[in-house]
Amino acid sequence: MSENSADSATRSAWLFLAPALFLMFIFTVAPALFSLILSFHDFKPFSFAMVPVGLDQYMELAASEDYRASLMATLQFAALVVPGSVIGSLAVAVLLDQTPFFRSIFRTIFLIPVGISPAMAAMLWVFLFNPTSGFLNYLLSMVGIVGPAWLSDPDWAPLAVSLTTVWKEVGFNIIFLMAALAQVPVELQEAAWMDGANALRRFWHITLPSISPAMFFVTVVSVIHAFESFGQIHILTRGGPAGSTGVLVYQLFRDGFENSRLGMAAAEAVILFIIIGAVTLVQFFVARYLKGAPQ
Amino acid sequence: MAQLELIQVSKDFGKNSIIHGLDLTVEAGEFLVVVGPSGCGKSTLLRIVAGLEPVSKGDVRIDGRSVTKLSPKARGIAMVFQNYALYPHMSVRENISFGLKLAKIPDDEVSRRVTDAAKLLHIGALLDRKPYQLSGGQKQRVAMGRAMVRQPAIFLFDEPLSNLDAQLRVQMRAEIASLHRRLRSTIVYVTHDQTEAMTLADRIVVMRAGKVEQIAAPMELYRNPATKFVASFIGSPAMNFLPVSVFPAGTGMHRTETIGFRPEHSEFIPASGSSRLPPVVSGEDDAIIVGTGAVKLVEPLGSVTLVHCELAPTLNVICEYHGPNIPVPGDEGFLKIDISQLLFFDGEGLRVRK
Amino acid sequence: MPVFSSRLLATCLLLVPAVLHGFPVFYMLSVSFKEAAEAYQFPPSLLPSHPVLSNYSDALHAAPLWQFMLNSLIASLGITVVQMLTSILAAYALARMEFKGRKLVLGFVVAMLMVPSEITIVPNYLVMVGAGLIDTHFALIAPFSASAFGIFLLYQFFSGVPRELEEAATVDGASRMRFLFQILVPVSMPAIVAFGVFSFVSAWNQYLWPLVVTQSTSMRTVQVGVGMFRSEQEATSWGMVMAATSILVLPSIALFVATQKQFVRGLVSSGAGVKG
Repeated sequence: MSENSADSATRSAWLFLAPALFLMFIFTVAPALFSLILSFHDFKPFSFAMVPVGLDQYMELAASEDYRASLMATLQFAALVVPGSVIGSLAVAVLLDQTPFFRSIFRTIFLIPVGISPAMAAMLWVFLFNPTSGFLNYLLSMVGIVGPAWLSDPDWAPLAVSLTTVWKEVGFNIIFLMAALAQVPVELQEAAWMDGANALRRFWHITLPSISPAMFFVTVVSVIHAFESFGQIHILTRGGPAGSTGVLVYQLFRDGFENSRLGMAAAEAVILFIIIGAVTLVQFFVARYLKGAPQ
Repeated sequence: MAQLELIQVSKDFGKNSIIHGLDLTVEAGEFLVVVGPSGCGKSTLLRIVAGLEPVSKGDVRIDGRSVTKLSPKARGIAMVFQNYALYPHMSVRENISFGLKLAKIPDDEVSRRVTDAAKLLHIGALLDRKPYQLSGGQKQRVAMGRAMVRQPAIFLFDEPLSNLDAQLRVQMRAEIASLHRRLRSTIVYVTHDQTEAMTLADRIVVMRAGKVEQIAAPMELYRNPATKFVASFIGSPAMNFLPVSVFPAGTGMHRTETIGFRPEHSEFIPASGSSRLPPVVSGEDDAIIVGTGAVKLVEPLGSVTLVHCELAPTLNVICEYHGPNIPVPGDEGFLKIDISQLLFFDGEGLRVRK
Repeated sequence: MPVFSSRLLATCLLLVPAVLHGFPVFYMLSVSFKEAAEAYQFPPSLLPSHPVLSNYSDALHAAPLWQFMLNSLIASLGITVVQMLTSILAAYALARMEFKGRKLVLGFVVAMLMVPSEITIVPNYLVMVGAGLIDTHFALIAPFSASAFGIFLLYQFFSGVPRELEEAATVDGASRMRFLFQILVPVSMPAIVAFGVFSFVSAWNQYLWPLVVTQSTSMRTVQVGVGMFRSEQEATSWGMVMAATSILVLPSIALFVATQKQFVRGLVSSGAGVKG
């Protein structure tokens, strides 16, 4: 008799799970596996034929200057966005934590870019970056600097794109860090103050370690977003000039959807998956360690 | 109101056997209380009757009909939960009528039942409030109303008063008792509080570790406990136990290892003056005197004073004192015990009868 | 410890990032009302000297902006609704039912959370092309109809609801489905709404997939549509571009300001509970 009810419970459970699992399987699991398979084939777009080429496409990527440039562009992009995003948001979060006034107004202002998409953010900034009529260069000219052609100069385009991205992302980090700061026990700070530590010392030795899990999380999210960025780059620079902002996802888009080399794009997707997967795993294990670590 | 039978009911969770081969019959209209310490299986038993928990072995029958495979709804039972389990987003009225609406009972009938129940439980003014606006006692009454309007064959109560404060508990006990008198329904009531059991029950089931120790009317359990456990569980303050080493063989009492006596059947007699002699016991008293040690604790309760004394280093007993001069800790005295009320238990805790 | 003057200093310092954050939106609006010539002038002015509405009518004529918004609305609503339904059902099973393989499924859901969408783009695209479903609303909605995030979020919330509530409903005669939708869902509204808002906004802000899967202008979403105004030419009418952007970004900002609280709740849960 008890067998019966356990079985029927199992049956109805699977019925409830079926829609979600079915959809996830069709649109996430199967495609992921298929990407892997596809990466070992040359896919002919018109005939839908798949010619197995083994590791050729991976080798081509490894040897490709374009791909290596893309990797570099991505790393450079991440190196610009992540510190800017994390440190900037930390500074603002600390300031906000100290401010009793207008908190919700400030919070709304900082969060609006988060509610806007990367594409919109790009459209907002595209005119600001204009070399002749843009406000950014105007501001620079007021302090005597001749601003560059932000979006058409390969030396400056990465910075421009990073700036837009940081502008868009910082708000999320600020909220997160603010919540973490609010949880730092006041007694710790007061004890340190009574021990004679000044504000900077207190910050470095008490506040920072206390929020280190949050800091870590925010950093990792920033890194992953950096590796997955596409929208703002497509709109601001189309991956140029001279590939200086051609990050990995952009390269994938170009190879797969502009040049119709879908097998190649699949290989790039697999590589991207491995990179992001590695970062996520690192985050998972470090977060575990941080949770257990004494403060 | 219906008769309930449990036949050889067993419940296992994995390798653990929570209930072992339990037999129980609850007569129609009877108020049966299942009492026992935490973990004895009483709540599991209730949930088995409700149909919330399947049996591992055995049969559950209501009015002779086997309901073991039926869902709770099909069994015609209603349950009042320990934490009330009211639907937080619905008003009191909606909470009470929820089950009725599901059973497709016509609106006017629903309305009538809700009004009647509300009147009986004095919650008429609360019908449009939400649960978060109610006090504990009010929530409990709404929970009872929800059970009542379904006019179930059997009412189940799962420790309903545990979350209420002492005074409210006394009040609600009286209300539940009066409700039973009015509705004459079959009730199975689970609690760990022996006072609730004694005051509410027609019969009490004492459970321990998944087994029934004794089923009897309250006073029978009090006067004639079948085991040492029942004797210690029923009655407040608890019974005193004295280990006994020697009884003459051949008297039929030789298995006795423990003697029990209740505080209310014993009396503390302070040692008078410098005399170390035990007081004289008159012939008609039917009592014995046992020497005492020192008084450890005195509890003056007003109507009676309880005296805790130390007979031996690890042997403390509680007895009553009715005299004018309340003893203080450190006093010495004697313990007078009514022999006719002594109970004898063997090594397994079973009663040894004369 | 912090003294009033240092708090005041903090507030003043905050004005800098606040201005930095708000300026682009403000400037976009400002430019959208400028006459063509003024938009180009150097040095650029902060506010239009003679505000005009012509940019807005130009923008509306240049591209079917309302159509873009309608497409985005259909796609985002579709995604949100299906995600909510499938997630509610799955989360309920995981949180409230005992069954063989439960831990496995839970682990699977958590694993799904970590799969980046790029790995699914090419095959999903091929499926849509093969099925002739390119340029349809279905293509915009289908791949995102299940959400591991939603399942996990609701699973955590449902797990916290006392078991007795479901037992009372069972005794009252409610089936599982009825309990789920008539009791558990209303009781879990805050979490469900937070997830809904977060889901809708994420769907609205998608760029790569709509770009790849829609071809005709009439099927473009807001995000891809706005990108159409980005032109390389110097002779761009910036006023019109900014007007178009203003129109298209307005729903996002309005929705966002209205649902800030829920959105933040959804964001924070995505961090706190999920990754590590």
